[in-house]
Amino acid sequence: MNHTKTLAALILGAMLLAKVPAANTPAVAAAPVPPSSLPAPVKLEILPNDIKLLTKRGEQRFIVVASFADGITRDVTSEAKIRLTNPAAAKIENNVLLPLADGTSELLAEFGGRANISQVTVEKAIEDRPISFKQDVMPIFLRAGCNVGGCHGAARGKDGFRLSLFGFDMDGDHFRLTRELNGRRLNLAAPEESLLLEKSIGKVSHTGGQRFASGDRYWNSIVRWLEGGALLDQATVALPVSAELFPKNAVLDGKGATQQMVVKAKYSDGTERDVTSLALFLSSNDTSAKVNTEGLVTAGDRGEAFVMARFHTFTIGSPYIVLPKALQFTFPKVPENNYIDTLVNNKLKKLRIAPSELCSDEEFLRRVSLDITGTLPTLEEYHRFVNDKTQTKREKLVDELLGRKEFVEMWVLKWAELLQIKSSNQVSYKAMLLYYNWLQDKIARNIPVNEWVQELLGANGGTFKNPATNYYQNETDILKVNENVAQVFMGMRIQCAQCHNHPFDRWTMDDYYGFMAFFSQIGRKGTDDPREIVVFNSGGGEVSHPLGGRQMKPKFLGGIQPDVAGKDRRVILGQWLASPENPYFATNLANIVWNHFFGQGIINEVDDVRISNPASNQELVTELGKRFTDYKYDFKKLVRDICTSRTYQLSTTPNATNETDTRNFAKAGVRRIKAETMLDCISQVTETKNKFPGLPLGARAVQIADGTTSTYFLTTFGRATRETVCACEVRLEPNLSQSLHLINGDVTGPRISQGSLVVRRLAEKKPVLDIIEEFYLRTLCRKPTAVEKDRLVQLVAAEGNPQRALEDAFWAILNSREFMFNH
Amino acid sequence: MITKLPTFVLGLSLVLATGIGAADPKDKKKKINFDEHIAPLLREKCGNCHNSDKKSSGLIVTNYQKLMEGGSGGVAVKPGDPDNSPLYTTITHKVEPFMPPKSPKLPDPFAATIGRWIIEGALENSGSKTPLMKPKLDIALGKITRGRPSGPAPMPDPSAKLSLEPLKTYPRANAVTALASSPWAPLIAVAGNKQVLLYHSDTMELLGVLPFAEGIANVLKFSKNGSLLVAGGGQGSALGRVVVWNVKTGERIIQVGEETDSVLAADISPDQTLIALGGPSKMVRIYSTKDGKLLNQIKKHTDWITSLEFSPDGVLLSTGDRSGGLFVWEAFTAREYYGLRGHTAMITDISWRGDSNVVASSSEDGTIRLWEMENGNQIKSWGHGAAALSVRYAMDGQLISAGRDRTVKVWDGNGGLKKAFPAMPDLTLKAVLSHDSLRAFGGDWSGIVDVWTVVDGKKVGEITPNPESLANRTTKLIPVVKVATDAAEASRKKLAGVNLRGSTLATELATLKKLQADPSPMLKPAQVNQAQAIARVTEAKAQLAQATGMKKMLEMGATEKAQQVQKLAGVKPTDPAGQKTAAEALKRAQELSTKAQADLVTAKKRELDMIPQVPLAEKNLVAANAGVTAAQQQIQQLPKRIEGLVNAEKALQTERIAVQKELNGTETEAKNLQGQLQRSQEALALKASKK
Repeated sequence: MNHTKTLAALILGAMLLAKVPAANTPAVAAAPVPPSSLPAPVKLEILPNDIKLLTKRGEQRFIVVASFADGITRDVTSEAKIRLTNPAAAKIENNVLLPLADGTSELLAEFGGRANISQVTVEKAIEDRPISFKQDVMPIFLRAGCNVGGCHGAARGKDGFRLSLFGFDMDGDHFRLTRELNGRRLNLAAPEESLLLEKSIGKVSHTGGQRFASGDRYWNSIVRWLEGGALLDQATVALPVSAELFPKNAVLDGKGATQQMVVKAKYSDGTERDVTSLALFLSSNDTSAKVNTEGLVTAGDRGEAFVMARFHTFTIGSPYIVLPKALQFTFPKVPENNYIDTLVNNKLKKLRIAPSELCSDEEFLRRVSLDITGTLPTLEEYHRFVNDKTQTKREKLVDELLGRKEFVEMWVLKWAELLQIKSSNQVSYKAMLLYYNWLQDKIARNIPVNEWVQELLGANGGTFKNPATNYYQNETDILKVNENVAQVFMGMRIQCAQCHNHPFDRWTMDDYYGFMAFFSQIGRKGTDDPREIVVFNSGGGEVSHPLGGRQMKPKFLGGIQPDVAGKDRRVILGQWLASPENPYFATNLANIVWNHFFGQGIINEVDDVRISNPASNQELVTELGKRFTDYKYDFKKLVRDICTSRTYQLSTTPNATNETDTRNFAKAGVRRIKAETMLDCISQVTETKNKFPGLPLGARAVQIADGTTSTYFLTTFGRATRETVCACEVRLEPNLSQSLHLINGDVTGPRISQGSLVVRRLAEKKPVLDIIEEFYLRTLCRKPTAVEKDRLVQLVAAEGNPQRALEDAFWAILNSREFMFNH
Repeated sequence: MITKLPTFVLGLSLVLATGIGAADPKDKKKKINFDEHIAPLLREKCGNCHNSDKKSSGLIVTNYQKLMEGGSGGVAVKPGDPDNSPLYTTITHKVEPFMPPKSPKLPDPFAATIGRWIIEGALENSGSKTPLMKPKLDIALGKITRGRPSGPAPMPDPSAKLSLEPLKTYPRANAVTALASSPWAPLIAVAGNKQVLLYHSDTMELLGVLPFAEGIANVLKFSKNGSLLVAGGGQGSALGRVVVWNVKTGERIIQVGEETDSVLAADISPDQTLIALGGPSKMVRIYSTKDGKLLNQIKKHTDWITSLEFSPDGVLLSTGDRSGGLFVWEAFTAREYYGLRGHTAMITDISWRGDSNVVASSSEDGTIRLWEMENGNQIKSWGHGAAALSVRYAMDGQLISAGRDRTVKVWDGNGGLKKAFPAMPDLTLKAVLSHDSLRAFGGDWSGIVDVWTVVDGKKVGEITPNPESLANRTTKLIPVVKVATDAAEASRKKLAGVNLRGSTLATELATLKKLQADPSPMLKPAQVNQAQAIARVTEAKAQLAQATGMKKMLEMGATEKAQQVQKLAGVKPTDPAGQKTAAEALKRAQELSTKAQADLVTAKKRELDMIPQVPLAEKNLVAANAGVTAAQQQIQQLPKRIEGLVNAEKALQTERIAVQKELNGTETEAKNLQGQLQRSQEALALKASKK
């Protein structure tokens, strides 16, 4: 084919998607106003409240935070008037409360006409607190960065010395410090000459440089511990059971604004401590909110950040919003179709972002058809919808599409990916097919998700008789099964906790192996048919903890330890997992659905739910989960809510305020169509048929049951291999192979000739303009613009051979970004 | 670099390492040079990365030539021009990359010293005119014995007056990182913090404190003839060195090694020509003791060198590393001889059997293994009972090991357990047997060194790597000496008592024995007595007969006189003369009769007196006869009595030996302690006078 000369220009001219921001968005008037006298705060808080100082080493840093009517918060600790009602009990040094004598006092703070009180209790003010390895020394290694993965926390340690990653194995660390290489790391005769300390303060060469300084609190703690004989604590030593980070959220006003963070930990003996000096602070977005080692957050550019503190096994975070200094903003009056719009807009208001305009009917029709059914609207559908004058035509369309079998096929495909349905050495082709049919049946009959997930997890029997058992045949390694269940149904990646406590989440090795204990009693045996395996509850087999070999009792991830005696553990697990008791199930599925319609999850990636990866809109994802539960896990109702929301129907065209925002759904996303749907659409518009193994001629790509079946096109465009459960299996990134395949491959040119649409239309004596318009309606669901019409008509005329010219035009459209993307 | 205890240099480099820069005013004229002033600084602060092993950015700062060659970034030092010398500009944070990385700027005196050195021309040593004094060493081959020394085994010479004052007494002891036992003398060396302590293995007296300012000694070894003590150690990530002392004089005679991390393994060859060392650099380096030159480097190990030892014949060198690698090399060529495969975890100790045919290794994998040198095969492997942290061959072929089970154990040459000593408070790290294998010493993590007698496994005392000050020890010694002196005195008295009893017993026995030989002295008096008694009976009887006869005679005479009187009285003469004559005759007869009567009374009385004399004499005779019988019986009993006494004498002899032994013990103890006290007091006095 010889398209190249003319078509480059054509593509560019016709199909550019990159739209410029709307020139005028009247609702927004973003003009920084110089700071005048501060308005009075609407709220003043002392954080933490109710302060307890225990022993003479007790201390508590506090902050005073003022909130203003416009949502801005400000750290006014150093500006507020601070008083103690009983100065004999405690004193304040650099915003830290220190004990003087047993008793109580009130801490008062006043700022801008507002005041607040915090109780202060001082106990055992003259007693010392004994030094503890686990309480006082271990946190230093985390704080100072000694036990991170790049340093001594690496599996093989660093420069001959290993610490457990983020301190998951404190007993082991004690051994390595004190008795692994006797006489090297510690010097009990002269503690301050210990290599441990000389390295840490940079007195001698240390690849990691200086981590703290001689004489500082960390150095002193370690010296005290060494002076006491470098003892390991009794097994009964109190350990942290929770940690709290203050403030819980903040909206900072302009570059340079600061906010001090405070971390308080609760211990198993009921005591509390200020661990601000022992916590490690991190920010998810240094550009907007940078946090220093002392926990002081400094605002940068406009944006959002999640500021986290890590202490012991806990990672806790507070969302930060940074706004330009004294930003003036009024949220536009926009209609809200349902709760989704309300919740999205609430967040946008906080961020001072205005949503884009509503998209056109044509855009909506194409978008929703692709999303719900994976097909392009037909000409007839187009005309019917565009010409429909009723107010509720969009809702009607959604309902109609939800009733189509293609909707089922879309979600069977989605679940087949997550359940990794494919034939393999373990799963015969027949078993795979039965498994697929089982899934298809559940979704086609709109069986509530919780029901079939319970059936799946608790499945017993032959892989032919009860195809759901293939779930355990697909993956026989229970470490993997454990991880897959958490990742698919709860959105958690717990892999880290297999070898060490999760560094960025709450999951410990105890959680991992406690959850794995649910899968420790899967029995398998053969049948007469070598292709079929019977999966059954063997009733025996336990999981032991790799550190110390403790036998782990089955414990729900983030839940209780159920009574499993004499029961099928997987049935018990399924009953909990796919139920409202599991706080992650409904939200996770809702998030997966949301991801399908917006191209990104509210928590993104959808299978990476963790504390350090917070939802961009927690209220929204919570509400979706709640609704989904209330709908008795009826999936269609949730999809209907999403597709009928105004948020889904927004235009892709940004405005001045939402131009840079990517995470808050203030505008519609531009998404590449996934491989199977793309092939189906090309087949649909060219009126050609596909042949896939095991399926009849003309079957659609989304109907392929076996994950191992693929074609060059599907592979190139990133069809999931179903090797893992990862959401990243479906690849949507563009690459050169894709472009070349569309330009020169057999899916465009040959199919255009094969489908002979142009030939037939010419035979029908249709005018060129009509044929061109049909191309546009078929592929892009819109009529060509005047410019496009003019140029194409001219081109066809110039070519002389209308068939060839029209086929070239058709080819060009198929190669356009507007066709490849859903927008 | 070898220096014969150049105290002034050492002192200066210490000052520089800590205080830096503030050079001695006396030194003003002397230019700063690399060897003396700069090398210690760079080694400490930069040597961890820029050493000959890591060569970060191709730069080596621990060697003058290499430093002057520069690194991959070009020349590091431009003599005379510090501002264009990256060495200077990076540490002063004038030019990136700032050095040392991720650390605050080095203190100014440091940079100032470097700067001054560069300005002064970046000299290698003190002006290159006066090269460092080469040590004159009395350790060359030929002059030394490899085995037992001919004279008395080397011990610290009292005249050398080794310091008895620890450099510092710490609140608690550090783990016992190293322990060594002299092969020929009752001498034990213990590593303390910045010092090495010499103890007498029998008296447990502290014989000397050898300063080790480099840091902690991780290894201590006596030379094969016991005349030298080798210590390897230093300061982690800063300095590693091997130091050799003369045991007799306490003089530091060699120091080699420019390691940038503490030396973990070291030994001196039996002929004292080589010193091998190793540590975290993963390199075994072999130096000549003659001139301190690095002769060979072994790069084969893939992990830290944790142990090494020369074979007693000096032919081979065995080395072990942290991941279980164990090799044997030709000592003089450093060519590989054997790779000994088997251990699965860190080699903790290596020890050769006296005949050099077998080498023992201990490992964190829990095993002690013996390897033969014919083919390099493992010939024995047994478990210590937990990770084995140390194994040593004793002079008699026994082995002693220590491990994580807190226990020290003695094994025969085939790995048969001979003795397990009572568990210590913490991990036992090191253990050695005394030269005569009579005593065992075990050092633990908490800093205790227990001393046991091997034969009964009993603990007899402790020595410490953290001794108290001399003054304190002296003060504490005084009451101890008193107790010991008193005990000795009591023993002495006891012995005197025993001796006295002995002499009495001996006299008695001699008498009896004499009687046995000639019992007459016992019998004769009785016999004499008997004869006399018989004589007395005869005499009494004779006298009685005499008296009776006399009496009878007199009776008859008296009767006759009386009859005469009666007859005369009947003669009545008429004549006066006759009458007168008759009267006169009658009167005379009457007188005679009266006299006869009187004589008879006397005779009767005499007889009466004599009558009881006979039974009396006869009674005496019976007694005398009994006396003879008794004497005869006594003579018969003599052998029995003698036997009794002999037995008593034997018992007493045993008692005497016991008491004598006790006395010997207490006296020796007292003498030792008195000696110790005296030496302590002398040392104190010496110290006072020096002040």
